[in-house]
Amino acid sequence: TGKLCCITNIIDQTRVLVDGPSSHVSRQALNIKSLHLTKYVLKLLPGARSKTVKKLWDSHDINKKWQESRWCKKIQAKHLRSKMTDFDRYKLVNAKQAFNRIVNHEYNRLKKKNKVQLAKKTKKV
Amino acid sequence: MKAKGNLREYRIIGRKLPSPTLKTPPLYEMHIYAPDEVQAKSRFWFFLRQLKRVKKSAGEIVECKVVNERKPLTVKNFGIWLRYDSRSGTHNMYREYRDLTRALAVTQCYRDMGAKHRARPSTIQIMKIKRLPAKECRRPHVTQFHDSKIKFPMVNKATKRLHHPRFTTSRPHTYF
Repeated sequence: TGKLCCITNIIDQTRVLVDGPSSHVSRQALNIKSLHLTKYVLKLLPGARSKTVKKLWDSHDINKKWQESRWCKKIQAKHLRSKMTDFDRYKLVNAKQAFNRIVNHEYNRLKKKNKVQLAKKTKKV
Repeated sequence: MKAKGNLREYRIIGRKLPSPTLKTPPLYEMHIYAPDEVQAKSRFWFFLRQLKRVKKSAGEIVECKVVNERKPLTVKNFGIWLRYDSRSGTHNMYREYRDLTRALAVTQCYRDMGAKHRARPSTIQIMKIKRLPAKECRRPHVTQFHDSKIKFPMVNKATKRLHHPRFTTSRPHTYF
């Protein structure tokens, strides 16, 4: 479901006990295969209570760090893209065209300027 | 018995039907692990018939209740003593599992016995199940997790969604 949770204990090679009191994930056993590890680490003792997890989570402000991370932004962008209607796609095409128009105009201007300068240099020589 | 899905623990109390000679028959209690109440009651009579002179037709079930785990969100080690029939004879076994609840541990046991010994659920009898503190565990596959500083790499994970999409131009992510 794309939510962050904290691994509080390891059950066996394939399952872990997971908890996310500040991210709406109830304490439960999950298969490791359905998880992706992030870089955030909370220093807990194995099997720590939800209360401890919540305290550490909030003190390290994991929710804010996650929202600001590139990974989270990519997920949100992917989600937005999947929700696009045809009208949104039309708007996207027009926005891309406007953006590219500006970029290409500037690029071509610089290219032309460079060409002129190069011609001047070779002429001098 | 068919061990479908996750098993549940039932506490079943039964007795012989009262008769003129026996006004208050003794109560017998068993803890049975079964997928549902019907199979639990069936197993109850199966065992009780082996142990006492009472059949289902001459008896009644006084109580059949689901026993829930007291703390289903703490990881525990369980030792299970069981008896099963192999192709050549019947044997006792002691197995250990690490799980959250007794019922889940017994479910694991049934799956494990099926896998490793081809034992069908109807031939398996759970004699005893006990929650063990870490130092009493004997099996290495359980004691290897008794490490507060445990770490192991999460190796290349095979994609769960192999066929979504079935054909694609980009390689799937197999890293965590």
